[in-house]
Amino acid sequence: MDMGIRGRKALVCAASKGLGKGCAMALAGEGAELTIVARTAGTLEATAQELREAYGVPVTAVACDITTAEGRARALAACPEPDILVNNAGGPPPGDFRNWTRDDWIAALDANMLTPIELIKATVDGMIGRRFGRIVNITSSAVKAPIDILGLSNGARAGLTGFVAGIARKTVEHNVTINNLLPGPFDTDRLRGTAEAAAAKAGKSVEAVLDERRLSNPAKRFGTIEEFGAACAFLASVHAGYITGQNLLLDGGGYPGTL
Amino acid sequence: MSELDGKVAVVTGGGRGIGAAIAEALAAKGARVVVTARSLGACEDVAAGIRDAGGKAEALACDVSRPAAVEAMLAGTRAAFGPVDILVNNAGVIQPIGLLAECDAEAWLDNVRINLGGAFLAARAVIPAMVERGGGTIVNISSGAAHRPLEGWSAYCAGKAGLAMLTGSLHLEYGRQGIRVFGFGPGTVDTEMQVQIRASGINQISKLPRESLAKVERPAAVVAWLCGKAADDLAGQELSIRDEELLKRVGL
Repeated sequence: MDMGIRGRKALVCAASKGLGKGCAMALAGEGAELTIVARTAGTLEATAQELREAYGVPVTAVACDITTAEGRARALAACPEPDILVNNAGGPPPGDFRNWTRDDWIAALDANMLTPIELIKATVDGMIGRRFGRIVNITSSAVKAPIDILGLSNGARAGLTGFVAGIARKTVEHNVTINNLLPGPFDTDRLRGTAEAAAAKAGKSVEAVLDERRLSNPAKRFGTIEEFGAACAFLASVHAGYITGQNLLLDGGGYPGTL
Repeated sequence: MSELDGKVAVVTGGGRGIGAAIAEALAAKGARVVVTARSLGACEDVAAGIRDAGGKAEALACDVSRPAAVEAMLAGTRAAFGPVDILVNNAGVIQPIGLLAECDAEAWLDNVRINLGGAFLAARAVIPAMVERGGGTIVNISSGAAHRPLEGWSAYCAGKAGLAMLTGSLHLEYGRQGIRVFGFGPGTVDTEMQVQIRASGINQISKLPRESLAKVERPAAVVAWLCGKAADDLAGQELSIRDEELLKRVGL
């Protein structure tokens, strides 16, 4: 199936590795022209070069912190009229809510709620004018099944989800859709990082912790970034204009509910 | 009420030249038009121009030589406007220009894939829904080169000759089911293709001064007219801008 997005301009945040990179790969594979953003210039440029060589599409790399106004201005200067916007940012740290200060909350809201809202605000009217837009927010399975120690994430991402649910119904008549992808456990650096922390705490090996986590999922494995990217590319495709305001879980069946 | 009100039209190669003018002419008659070409940016400019003029248009990228890309473009068209009533197979390339034995093999085959294969792929994809709905119109942009060889244009001539036979085949197989198909040679028109032809210096067409070439609006008006009821009796034919009787009927 061809996604019909050859030549479309895509802005992908936090794209140097992990889920953001998976999305960038899939969009590039469909011929989209990419602007990729991440904080660390070295890994970002390496990913950009990898994408150019593998897919032969133009890739612009912008090393900046997308959670700052200055970072967003730089990303939008490089890609002022995206047809596809993938909102993504690293999640806030886990912890006990008793220890979180107002500043901790503001940082979480800035990264995981207000940054995507600002980027949507900056790009959605252009999409409406061009009669094509696909916005995909990478949130978390924790939006559906909150995880106690991820309270900052639960709160910030739920806020974004509520905002999106409202406006996604206003943009769809213009062929502009906004949807959220909710990842469960994926084979990424972040997952490995949390496993390392858990292993140190429990006095187990990292591999043992990872195995436990794998086996606790109905699929008995972690998701791959390629699988995640394929879902993103479909939501960004010409075929998905009738899907908007949705929250799609990609968690190997980890969430046990029917809806 | 305009003649093509509400009709859904797809124009391949619609990003510039004759295709862009056809898209504009169809939209001016009330059709909802999908402008498609390999370069999305050019299509978006044409579609935006149509919308600014009060028409309805969408831009979709498509390399007509790739079956999956044609399917995706038509899926996008159905989502935007619904099933296709009018297909204008206008996408075409002139390269490679050169003596047959000196042509790059892939470039030669690509020419035929686009000029002939692209028209086949798009027609093949829209015909079933047209038949189901009782009819539709397909215009294949032909050329004098379909009917006489020109030095240095073996790919273009062969592809366009094949396209003329595709027009005939389509009429034979689907004419009775309400599909009106036309081949139409637009003549030598002032487009990017003629720039490449002049640059080649091969054969008499390359020697035509730019001032002698027709404006894109002229063939576009004929194509828009062919898409209306008045052209019913001409279905299945290879037509040309050089046909005075046709021009009279169009009102040019």
